[in-house]
Amino acid sequence: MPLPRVMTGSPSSARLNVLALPSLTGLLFALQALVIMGAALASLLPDSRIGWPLILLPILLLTLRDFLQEPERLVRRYRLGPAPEAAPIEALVAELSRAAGLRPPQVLVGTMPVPLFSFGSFRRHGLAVGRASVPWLRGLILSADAEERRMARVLIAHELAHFANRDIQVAGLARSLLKMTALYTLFSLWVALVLVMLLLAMGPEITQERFWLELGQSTGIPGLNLLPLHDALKAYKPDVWLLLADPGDNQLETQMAIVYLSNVFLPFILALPILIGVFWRKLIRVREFYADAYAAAQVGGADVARLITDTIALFRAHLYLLPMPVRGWHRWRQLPATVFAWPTPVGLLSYAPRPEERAAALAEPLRLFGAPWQMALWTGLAVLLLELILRNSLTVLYITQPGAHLALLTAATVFSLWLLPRLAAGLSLRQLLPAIGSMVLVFGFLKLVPYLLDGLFLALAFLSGRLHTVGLMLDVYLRAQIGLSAPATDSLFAWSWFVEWHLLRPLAYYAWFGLPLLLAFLLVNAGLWRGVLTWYACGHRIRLWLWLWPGVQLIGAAFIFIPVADRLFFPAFYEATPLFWLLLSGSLLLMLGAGLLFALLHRRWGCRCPRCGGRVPGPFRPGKRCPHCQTLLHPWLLAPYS
Amino acid sequence: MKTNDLALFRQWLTVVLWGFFLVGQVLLFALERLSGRLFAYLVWLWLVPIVLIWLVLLIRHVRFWGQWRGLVLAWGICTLALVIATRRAEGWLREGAMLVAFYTLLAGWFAAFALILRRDVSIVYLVLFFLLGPLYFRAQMVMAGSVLGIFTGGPTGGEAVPSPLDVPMLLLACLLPLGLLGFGFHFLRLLWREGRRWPLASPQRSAVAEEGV
Repeated sequence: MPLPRVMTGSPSSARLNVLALPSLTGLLFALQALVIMGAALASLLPDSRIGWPLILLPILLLTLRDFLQEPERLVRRYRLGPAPEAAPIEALVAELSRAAGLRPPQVLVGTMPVPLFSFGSFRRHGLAVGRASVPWLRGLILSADAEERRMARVLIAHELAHFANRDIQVAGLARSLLKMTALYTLFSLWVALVLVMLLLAMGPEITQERFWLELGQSTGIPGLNLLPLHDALKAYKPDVWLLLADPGDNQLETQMAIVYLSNVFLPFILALPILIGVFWRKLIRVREFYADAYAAAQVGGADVARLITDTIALFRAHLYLLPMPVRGWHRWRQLPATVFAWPTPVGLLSYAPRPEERAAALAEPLRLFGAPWQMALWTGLAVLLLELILRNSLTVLYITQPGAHLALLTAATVFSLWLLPRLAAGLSLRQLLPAIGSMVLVFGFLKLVPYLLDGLFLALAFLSGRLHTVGLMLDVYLRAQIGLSAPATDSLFAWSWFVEWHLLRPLAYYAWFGLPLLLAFLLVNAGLWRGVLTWYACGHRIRLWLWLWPGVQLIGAAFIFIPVADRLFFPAFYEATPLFWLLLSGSLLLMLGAGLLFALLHRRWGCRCPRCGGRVPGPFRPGKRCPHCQTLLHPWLLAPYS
Repeated sequence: MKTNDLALFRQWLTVVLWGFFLVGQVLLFALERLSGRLFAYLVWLWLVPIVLIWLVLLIRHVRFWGQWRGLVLAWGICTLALVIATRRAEGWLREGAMLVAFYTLLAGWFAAFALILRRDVSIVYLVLFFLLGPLYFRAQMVMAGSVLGIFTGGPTGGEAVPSPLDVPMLLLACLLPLGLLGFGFHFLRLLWREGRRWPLASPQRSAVAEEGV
């Protein structure tokens, strides 16, 4: 089937330069990191009772180690090495890297059947080419046909784009973080379960003073007294010590321990497949759009968007014709990668965007950001996964949950950044209102899904007439989750408590405060950014000023609006401490000062031509020129390709 | 000294040192007949240089010991020798088997050390330790009848002869420290390479990869 060509009569002849704005790749990475690191970061809150650096540090070290090791692992897996026949490719890579101000990556040729791909770490960059592809690529580079030479430049520029856009770091760190968290979680669950069994079996013996005395004597070291160790362990966790000393019904203790430990690790085990299978692949797909835009900007010339589409089609055709000389053991070693790399019919699971999507994104860059409901869905899903993790046994017991703060602030940040390209493309607030509304509604629905499911659960229990039985089961579950195993004397669970705290208050909080706050935040921020985009006289510093206003708004939301609402909706949990009043008053002053600063700067730089100083009326749109001197305004926001 | 001469010198040095080491084994075997303290002093005086020499040789010249197959072979022979020594053999065969078990035990430790120096297998070591350690400890506890019994040799008192079941304990005991030290060592090496922009592949390494070594 022939690939569709790029529309020549695109809606706007001046395309937006997406490379100059915050990238969707970065946003997706931030969401994944937030889900994994959210609980660890929440442990940094002042009243946290757990030393999470002990958990945070291994994850960070393992992630960094895996990321730094990955290039050499790929070199071994694909048997990559320098090859003299790749000299023309190296020359072209050096030329394009120099032009882009990049350090040229090492060009390596692999004996294994690999396509062209870039890889590396922070400072070590490589470009891998399969040995079978080298003659084909050489042919393009040294061709007498100028169009074919441009195609070769497109291919190399696309790969270099992954270094320039920091895709290698972002995608690599995300992959390593998810991989190591998954392995660490599964392994920790195994170790924890086995250790619990072992401790329960050893408990009655090792809690005796006689054991430590005889153990000291058995070493043969004269005068060695291990009793202080016994006392220290007993003092560290007296309740656990008592439990170990007299486990009683061992089977019940074991079951409770298994439920408790499963509660600790199960949220990670549920969340990680979604993050790895869906979120990470989305990131990999999105980075290709940015790489195409970068290649278009680098190669330039007439009709470069069409050239890119044709080059991709040609390269895919070449890959299909490649021989696959995989033999022996290496065939089996490649199996997992092959299985996971199979093209899937479902777009969500594919690694690369479809050619028509790439062509459309080049023609109209705003399309790569997707529909507003899609962004709300990704954000809402990330927030739900984070909340799932924050409800595990460890976090429930030992760290203060950030509650609604984190979800609302995350949504406000992500949605604002999603709106920025649209504002830079010249869309008005009126045009953006449906997008903002749909984002808020979809996010709100997703955020409330757990509470709605709780309500459904209650209704089913009520209708089936088993309210009491279900209540008893939930009581046992709650005891296991917080590590209690003593016989139930007082019930921890009450349906009235459930209805109030799991249904009514959260629904009221989001309906009357959370979602209106989010809507107001996005509208105010969009208005401010729309104003800032007219600060033509500010020059390139405008990129810095763009960041200031959502930052101030986030401070206002985090320290004024959300704390006040928390104290109104959940008075039992939040008190009006002196710190609260201090932060409230400080934030109010900050917002007042920021408002005054905005007014002053807008008066100084707003709607003024940077060259002649004349007034430029109306909002910004790409390609706008000063009516007096015809100076192009914000040229950095224009894609440098046709 | 030219490169070829240096390589030849190293090869000869390896042969001489290995010969020296093998002679030492025979001497030790003979000296075992000597009694008490003298034998112990001789063993320790002999062992310290041997340990160092062997370590250097293993790491620098004998690539086999820096691989998993070396590790498995050393610990496998050690277990087998202990089985022979404790179950079947008597007299010289028993003593010979014990000696083989002792040196393959050392070889196993050094192989583990050489392997982690050459390749970053620290995580595998730690995983093996935590995966198998609790299970092995539990099995030992059941066999000994109590936790204390593991350290004192069971309810009937200590055993005079090491058992093949001690081999996992000896292996696991070295995996934990080696895993922790190896992790730090390789992590620092990775950071150093990253800082120096170490080439991802050199022509020499590429040739080795082509040969499939």
